[in-house]
Amino acid sequence: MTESNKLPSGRSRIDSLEMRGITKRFPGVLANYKVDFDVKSGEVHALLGVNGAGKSTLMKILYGLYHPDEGEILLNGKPVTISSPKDSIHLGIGMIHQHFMLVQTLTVAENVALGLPSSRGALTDLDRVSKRILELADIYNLKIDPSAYIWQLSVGQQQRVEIIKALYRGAALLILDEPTAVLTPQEVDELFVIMRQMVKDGHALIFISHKLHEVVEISHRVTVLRDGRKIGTRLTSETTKQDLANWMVGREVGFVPDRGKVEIGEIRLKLERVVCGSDRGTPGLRGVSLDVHSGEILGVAGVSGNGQRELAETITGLRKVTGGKVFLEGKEITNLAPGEITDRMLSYIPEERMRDGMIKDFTVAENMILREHHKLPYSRYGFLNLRGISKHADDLIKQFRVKTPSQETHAKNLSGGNIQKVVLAREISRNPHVIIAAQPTRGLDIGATEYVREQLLVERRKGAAIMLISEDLDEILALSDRIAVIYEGQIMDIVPRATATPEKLGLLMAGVHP
Amino acid sequence: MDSTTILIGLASVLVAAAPVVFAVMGETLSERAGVINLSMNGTILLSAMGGFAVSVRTGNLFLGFLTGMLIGAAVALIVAFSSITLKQSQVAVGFVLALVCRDLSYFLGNPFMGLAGPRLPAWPLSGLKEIPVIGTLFFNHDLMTYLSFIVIFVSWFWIFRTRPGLMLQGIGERPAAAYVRGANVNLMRYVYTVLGGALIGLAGPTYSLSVKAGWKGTISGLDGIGWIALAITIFGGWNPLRAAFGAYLFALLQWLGLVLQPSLPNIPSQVLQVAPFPLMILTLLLVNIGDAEWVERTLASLPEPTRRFFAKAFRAMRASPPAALGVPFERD
Repeated sequence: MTESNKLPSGRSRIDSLEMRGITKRFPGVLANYKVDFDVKSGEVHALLGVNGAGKSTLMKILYGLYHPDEGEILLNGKPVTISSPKDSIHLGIGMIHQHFMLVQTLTVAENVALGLPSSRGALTDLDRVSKRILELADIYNLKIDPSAYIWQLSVGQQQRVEIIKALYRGAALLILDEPTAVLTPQEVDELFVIMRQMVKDGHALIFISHKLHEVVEISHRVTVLRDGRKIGTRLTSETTKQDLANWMVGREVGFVPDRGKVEIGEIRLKLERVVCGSDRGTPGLRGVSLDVHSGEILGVAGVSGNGQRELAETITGLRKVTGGKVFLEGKEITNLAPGEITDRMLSYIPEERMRDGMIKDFTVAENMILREHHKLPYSRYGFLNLRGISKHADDLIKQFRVKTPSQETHAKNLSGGNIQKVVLAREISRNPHVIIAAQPTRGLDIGATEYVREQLLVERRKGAAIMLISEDLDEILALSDRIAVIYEGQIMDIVPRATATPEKLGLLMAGVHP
Repeated sequence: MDSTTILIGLASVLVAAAPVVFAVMGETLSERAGVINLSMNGTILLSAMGGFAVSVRTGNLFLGFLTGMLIGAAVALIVAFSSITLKQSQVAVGFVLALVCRDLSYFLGNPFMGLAGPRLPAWPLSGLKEIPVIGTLFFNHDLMTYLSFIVIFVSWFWIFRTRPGLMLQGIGERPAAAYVRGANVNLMRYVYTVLGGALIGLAGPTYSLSVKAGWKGTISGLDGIGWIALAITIFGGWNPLRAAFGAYLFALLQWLGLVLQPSLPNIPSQVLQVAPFPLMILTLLLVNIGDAEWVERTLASLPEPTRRFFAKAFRAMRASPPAALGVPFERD
């Protein structure tokens, strides 16, 4: 084997990998049907599709977590069998899972060493592992401290640990399963730098995503899946975002929803120099003053971690306000209990929908009455009215087009988009006067994103005052009437949409007054 | 009290703590893998009775200890099967087993009540026991006490210095991560639960054949030890060294109750006998006290050096259970 066939890590390249005619059935679902897919050394091949299109299934087959019902896998032209992750790792295939497979209480080196043979037999050889990690980190330009505990690391750093872990195990082909879903825009840029470097060195990368701009930015080729079938493969340079979007969804997709004209009304939500702490004990908000009017969407833009979470939580009563005042429809609600604030017709679509937006082990129907369970027609004299709850759930499932086997299905079994629809249905169906929507489309696919945005605009037309907290500038620009930029717990400026440009907002988000 | 009395007293504390050490190490291993073996109190009683009975009948001490371990392993196997394979609540199953095993030990142990039985002989280590202080403290005991020292060290070394131990940490903390790295999570849980159960089962005969030799049914004075061992496991932060410290602390408190009795005639002897139990629970409260809001507030008002000292001490005491403790593992 010649030197040019080697990767910087010392392993040989995977020149080509081909999946042919892959079919996978689950009870009641055809997850993949006769899918062909291939990837070569030195390229990023994007796998694009909405949630449930079969991307993850296909990749789990490649990684040996699932077994295909039909089809074959060829490595460098030769058929191979992959029956467990052990086989795929042996062949040089690595996978960065969407939910990191790291043990929080162990160090970076321990996580890398976990499950690997050791040079000292049954004893751990963490010194050697650490040395090799530093070598790899040097080659691939990844900053990492082998002795740091995982819980001390940011999400972006944890992802780097996953990449190092795969490289350490000799991965020549890396599957990245929605790697950007949990990252801040800066961390995404850093990841892309690493990915470009790896491709230049001869790695083959598979990039799973449903974010079009990322696919267009990073990939060389793109394959679109829909309903488990392959729609096609193209060179990325020969497609547009619009084409890809239509392919993914199977119909024309409107990127900029129709906002319509709405009369701006009275002030519904008012913050006066609000101050609060953050989870880290540092100041969270340092004197935020804002107001949101009826019939208006106020966008709150900013880089993540600049006080957005604290802003949402102080308004909804989840976080203690240590200075300043909050008013809802003219009445002060500073530091009232969350339930009391909710009862004054404030609705909240939380950022962490799986943690704060719902109870995973409750059914869809139960999740739909979390806010109003103590009121008619859902309960009376402290007893639940099951018929009322059930009818309510049926109505909302129909109205909000929630895809669920039944209203008795546990919420955790729904897809991300449908979980958000349940949250949205619960929060919006009570005709709220004020809505706080935090990252309402994060992690959702195109179809669900479009739906959530439409619903927010419908509520705006009905006269609700909406605060939209989002890190997605496109979303902020598409929906907001005015845009407040938050930086280090302070509002840098509030600009009307008409005069807002991405450049101007970008500067404000970085703490610079243009 | 002169220094010799104190030294001999402390040595007796190490002996008295041996069964608690076995139980706590067993529970620590089991919980590290993610399985709570709540049956401990019953298991210790049943294995104490069973070990004693077998030794009385056969006259063989080794068979007595072996019986204890087999009983512990068998009870743990029930816990493992119901929680890992049947995915039932570990708390419910463990609690019922704790009650059933206790009553079973009283019922089946009736014929052996008050019988004279064999007792593990002392086994001073000649050469080592002559070392001043240390010899008396550590090397003038019986086999089980020495074994308890070894079990502490081996458990610690296994968890924190070996590859399988690293995997054990992974299995209890993030089973999915262990699984994608090739571990058979459920099999490993079985192994550690049963192994831990065998250690818990060793605690019983260590009482009935050595520390509190004999079987006296309900007045054996063993009821409750298992619950305290459970508290010590938590106090120990799932670290064998710290857990051993907890076990010795408990034995020390019990010993103090005994030696203080003559000098405190006004306090009923029952109070001093029972006091170590609530005291141990109180120490348990200290583990995560640094997280309490009122403590944080009080700390903030202290002068800086004092504040830093306490903050550091509280952080050192902190312990959180393995994240997947009590949660069945399902792949995907």
